[in-house]
Amino acid sequence: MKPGVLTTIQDRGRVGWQDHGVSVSGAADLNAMLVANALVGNRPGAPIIEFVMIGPTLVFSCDCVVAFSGADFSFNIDGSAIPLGRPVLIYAGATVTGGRSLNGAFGYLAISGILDINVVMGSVATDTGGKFGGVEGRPLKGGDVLVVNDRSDKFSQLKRMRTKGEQPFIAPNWGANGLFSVSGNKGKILRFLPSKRWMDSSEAVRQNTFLSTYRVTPQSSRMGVRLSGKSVDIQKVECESSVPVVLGTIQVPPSGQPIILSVDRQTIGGYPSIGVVASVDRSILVQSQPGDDIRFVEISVKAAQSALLREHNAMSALIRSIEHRILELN
Amino acid sequence: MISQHTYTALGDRAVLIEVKSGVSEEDDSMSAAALARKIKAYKLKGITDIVPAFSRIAIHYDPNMWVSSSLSPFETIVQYLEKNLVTEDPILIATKPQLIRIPVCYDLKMGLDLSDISLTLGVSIDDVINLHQSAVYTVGAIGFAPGFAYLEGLDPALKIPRRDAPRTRVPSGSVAIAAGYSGIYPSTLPGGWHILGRTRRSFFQKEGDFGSLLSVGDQVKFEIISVEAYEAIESDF
Repeated sequence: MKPGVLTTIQDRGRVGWQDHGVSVSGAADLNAMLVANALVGNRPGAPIIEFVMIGPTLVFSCDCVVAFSGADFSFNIDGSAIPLGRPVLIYAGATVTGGRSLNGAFGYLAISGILDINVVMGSVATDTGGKFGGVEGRPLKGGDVLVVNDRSDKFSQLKRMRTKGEQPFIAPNWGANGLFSVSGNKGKILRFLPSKRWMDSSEAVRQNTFLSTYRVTPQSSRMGVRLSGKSVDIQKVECESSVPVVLGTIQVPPSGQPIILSVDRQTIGGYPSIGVVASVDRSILVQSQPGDDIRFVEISVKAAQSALLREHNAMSALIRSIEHRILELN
Repeated sequence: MISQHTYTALGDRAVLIEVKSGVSEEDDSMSAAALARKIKAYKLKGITDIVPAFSRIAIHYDPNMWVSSSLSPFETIVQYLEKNLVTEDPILIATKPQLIRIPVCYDLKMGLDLSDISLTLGVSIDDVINLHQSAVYTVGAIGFAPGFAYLEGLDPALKIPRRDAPRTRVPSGSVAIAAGYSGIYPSTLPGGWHILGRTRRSFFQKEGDFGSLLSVGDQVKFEIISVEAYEAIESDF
């Protein structure tokens, strides 16, 4: 097995430990994770495999129902492309090969059943900084063996569809229908909830940023999405003490080049902030790749939260309809 | 003493509470720490993380759990917090923070920057150690790394900016100062603080009884130990 660039075990993240200085971590594109888990009949927050930039190569030692979601990493078995966003039955002995991501930064692989990973502080999420969670607190490497327990019988009909030695895998003709998939659009708009610091800035400073386009740089990581573009000239206060930060906090270091904090962010930060990217734009934010262009627009708390509740309802509806489809397969 | 709280939206999943007592920064930190403990004691469903840092507290919440017919989730949670928190002074009802004694070896072999600090500040090495060791510190924030505590209460004579060139590896247990704070590296990390000494205490447990030794609001006192005593302590790490 080849590990790819940064392949880790993730889940919803480590909730409730930030006051110990522990990062939340977890799947960067939470929606993609939820969709993949639903497609294989797992609970929404079940452990999942996340990969960045280049997908891993995996050898399956037993028949498994899996689902790929998030960015398209051209996963295939001997050249036969495995569809994204669908449950897929893969046979024992198959080698699944991933390539370079085509349209986003993060991809996900859910395997029906329970990945046998130790829970640390309520989560299996790999925290590579803290060196805990996942497999020994590190990214997966060649030779690692992942054990899947409780491979359910939810897909027995799919397994009966097997015809000896013909297709390398079997997938039903339904899936997530492209919902919550990655757009691949190179020009992205991020809505953000402005901070007081931003509201107190001059009209000229704000317009300067709104009219500018910021390019995602290769220094971006699970810690933060780094941008380059017109300097954000908000007033800097000398010797500022650290303040709590969240996923999406837009920090402005002395260089004026914004950093948008991502899943592996620290719990507090010392740089001034112009605001926080709306949670509904989390997938767009984390799926941005080096070279993508980002523009900022403001959104109110009220509007951001009603959009988030709508998204939550749409996700619940999708998960319910997938559950219904899986029942038909049993 | 009645402290004032302001509530602002830190994105759409967190409320930032700022405490202003009008007395001192350390007082604000103490009030914020007590307030955070109080909110934590409520064990509210729909609040995922309570993160105090100096005079501020972030209350991370799930907007789905704070839906009401007329108000946004942000307005709903703020209304709840205002009603339940402003009525009493948190200092009076909060549990007492603990005092933790940390044995530190200030030997030059471990206090890698003692000479530099002495030269930069124009304070003798003995005085640097005495000033650092005699203060009682308050944990103002935990962050940067799991279990890394920012300690308030550093003698103003020891105020020094971060090192120009950060180290790529600061040894685990290093006791350091920078930007008006003291801190202890809970594991081997990159860092730009000036190192005064080292301790064998463990500040973050990754197994068993998980978590940080220190909590925001705790008090810390450093105690000088010799190299021999340091060597004799079985390492926690």
